Amino acid sequence: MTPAAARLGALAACAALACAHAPRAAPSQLPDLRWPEGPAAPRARLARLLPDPQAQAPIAPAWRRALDAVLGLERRAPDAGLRRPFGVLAVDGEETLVADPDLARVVRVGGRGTQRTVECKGRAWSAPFALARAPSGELLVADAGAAVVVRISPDGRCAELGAGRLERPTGVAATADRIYVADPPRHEVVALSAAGEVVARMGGRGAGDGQLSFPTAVAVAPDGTLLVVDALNFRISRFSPDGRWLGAFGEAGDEGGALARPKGIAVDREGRVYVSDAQRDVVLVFSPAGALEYALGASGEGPGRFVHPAGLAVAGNRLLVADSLNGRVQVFELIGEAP
Amino acid sequence: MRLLVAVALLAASPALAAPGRVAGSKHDLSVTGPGPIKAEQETRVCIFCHVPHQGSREALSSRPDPGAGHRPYASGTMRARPGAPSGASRVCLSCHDGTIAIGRTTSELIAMNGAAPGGVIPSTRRSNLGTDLRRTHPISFAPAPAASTHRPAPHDAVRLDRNGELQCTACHDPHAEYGGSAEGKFLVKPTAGAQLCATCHVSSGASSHASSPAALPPAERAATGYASVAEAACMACHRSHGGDARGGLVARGDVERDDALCLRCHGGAVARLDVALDAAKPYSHAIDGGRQHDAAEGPSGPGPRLPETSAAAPRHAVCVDCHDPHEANGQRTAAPLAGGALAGVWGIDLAGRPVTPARFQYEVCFKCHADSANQADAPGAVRRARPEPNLRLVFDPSAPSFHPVAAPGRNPEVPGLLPPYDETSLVYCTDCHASSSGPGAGGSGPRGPHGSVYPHLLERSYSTADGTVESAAAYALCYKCHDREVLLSSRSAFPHRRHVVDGRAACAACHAAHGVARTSGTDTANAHLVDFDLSVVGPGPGGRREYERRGPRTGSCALRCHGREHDRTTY
Repeated sequence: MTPAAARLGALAACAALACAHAPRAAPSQLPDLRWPEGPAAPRARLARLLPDPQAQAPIAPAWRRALDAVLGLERRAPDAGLRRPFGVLAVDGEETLVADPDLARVVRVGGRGTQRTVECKGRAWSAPFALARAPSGELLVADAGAAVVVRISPDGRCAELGAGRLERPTGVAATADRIYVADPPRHEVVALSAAGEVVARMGGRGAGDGQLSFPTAVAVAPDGTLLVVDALNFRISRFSPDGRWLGAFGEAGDEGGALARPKGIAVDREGRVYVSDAQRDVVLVFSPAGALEYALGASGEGPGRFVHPAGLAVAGNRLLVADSLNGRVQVFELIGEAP
Repeated sequence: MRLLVAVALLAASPALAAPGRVAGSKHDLSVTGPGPIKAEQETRVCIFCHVPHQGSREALSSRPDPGAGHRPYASGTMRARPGAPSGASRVCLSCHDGTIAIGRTTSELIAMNGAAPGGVIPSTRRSNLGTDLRRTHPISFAPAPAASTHRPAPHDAVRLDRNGELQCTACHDPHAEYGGSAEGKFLVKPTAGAQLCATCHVSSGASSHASSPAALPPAERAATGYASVAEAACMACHRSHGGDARGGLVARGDVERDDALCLRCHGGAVARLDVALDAAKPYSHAIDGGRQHDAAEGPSGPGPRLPETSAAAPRHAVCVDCHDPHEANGQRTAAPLAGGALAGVWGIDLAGRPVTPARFQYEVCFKCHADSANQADAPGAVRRARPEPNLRLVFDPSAPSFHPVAAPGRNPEVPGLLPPYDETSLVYCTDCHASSSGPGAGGSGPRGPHGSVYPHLLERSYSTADGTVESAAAYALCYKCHDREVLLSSRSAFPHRRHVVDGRAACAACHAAHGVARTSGTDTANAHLVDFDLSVVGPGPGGRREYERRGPRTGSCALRCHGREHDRTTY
């Protein structure tokens, strides 16, 4: 080998080594954040962010990149991702469903961050706000813009429920035989049968027993109790499955367990109630009786912080929070819970 | 002391002292019925936004910020960078997110200003930040000084918050539904006549839109409350919330074409002249511009390149490529100055540099008809020896010959120019390229190159076919300025009559209408716009096909045409 070639070879080898040492981001290097802090035993830790901020942007196939280079096409980045994720639902394994009213989209996010939209043939989303799953496996989507709840069966068929009976449904929850829909402008939670007929209406505008003021979300506890975010009464109201008022907890305030702007609700298998507060930027965790156990999160844009947390979902030991104005979903692991 | 503070507080804010203003307004969310407001009811009216400072004593966990992973939102033409909503806007958005109150991105409802547009694009990847995803007036940012915006005056009704940021409360006072404007919506100032917008957005006010008394259609008048275009002002075309996702807060649907907004009024409805008719003609500038226009396009910067640098880049021509609706007016000028209709639009000058605003009309045309790499030959274009699509080079004063668009022509003697033209005149591109039904052609349509029935968007007929029978109509475009009688008489140095009338050669057989660029020809071979049509003029003796200018009124040709040899035939 001539000296020139040897030098060239050494240079090439150095370059290759340099490239090999170029930092390659490992997926999800999240800080280890746990709540509550301090001497109390941690109850939750940050597990994932969706979309993963350190994931590479989707790489187009090689032929596509070559074509673009030759033709010099200036393709605009497709509008992927989440703009204002509002509703969340945990589905099998690591998958998450997200409702985004601003993009008018329902998206299934896979374990590795891949996204697939959930669509209905012949029907476009207007403003999907909340998601729920019936025990029979069907997906329910509260489409506030279209004033209906859409039921999607596992084979993909879609049916609109409650047409003409709802004004702006923003919350939905389901039991074996009932679908509960929160309709804030009417100050009602409407119970629909599986066929979509209105079976009962709970609420009516007011601050008294059994009344509601802009209920934004609903969840069903393991014992069948219906929990309603009674937003402008600053409380969480409880109803029996047949619509009797069972009581409420919560008060207006900005400290401790007080509610400033409660938005989303979820219940774990022990009956603990998780409530997101969009003004305080926290998720409050209450015992089944309504006593504050701990709080999760703070205001901000970093991991473990929220701006306007909205929808919540709990599945096993996973808590999902739709961090709506940060454009992401945060996944927390509930320490001590079984998956 | 506490009494003093209490008295001071009571005296300080009118809002504090008058909860009655909120009561009964849309923001009165209390459930109490009508009747005199009592003490506890006063409290209930306020707490929906002014959440009481109380709660159980447990401290909440908080951590120092481990580092922001958040990408702030950006637009191609906006200089300040909004982050996630902050300050007073957070309270507004806590209800106006679509659940408790309307807050959505359809055209009728209030839209959201979100955070990062979903996902993070690595910094090495070229992402088009020019695609403006904004639908609503940006909030929660401190306005950066810019040429077209300024902070509101010190005691103005429009206010930035105490961090100098613009929030919802800049334009809306949530306490007073009708405090600033009869329109309600808690506005602090009326929107009519641009009063609210002009607090921060600079506008010369010289545009026709600002003073137009044209009446809006009755349906729009009823819906908006504005009677005329001048009264609607900004709101005739813009919406503060729920604008087009393409940006600029334009009042247009996401899937509508770029021109749909302008044509709502300039398509025969409100404005006097109907541009849509011209645009529908067979040769027009309204190549379905579709939705390609990007306000940030230019020779550099975040938007797409204009003039286009890639041969495959799509071309587009929409209204706002040539007209700035904030500045356009009816002022008439003389060539080469850009007239009032083009006021405020940027262009490319003779040297190829961007100039804002364009001073000369041709500078606006050069944005797309000069350095653009994606120019294709027009169908049926004449085949020349060395065609030059870059008109900047063709009209350059150093070129061998050219129509006097950018500089007076090089020929000091042109017999037969009709008044008002003479050898020192300059002409507009639009003296030849204009509507076939506009004033230049004797019609009453809009002036300007919107569309024509003649190829190449010409104002008048111009036949390029060999064998055309000569008549005033066949070459009407040329005869607009060149006297036909003089041209076909002996006063023309070259025997035009013999060639054009007897020989039925078209003007285009020998002349290139724009000119010949320096790189395409020489002063002797291409004087007088001579550039042979290769399909008509063939090589003569010795294989030569050339013209030679020998003096002011003399020259010679060596070529073969219509079977006749010209062996340095001289005139």
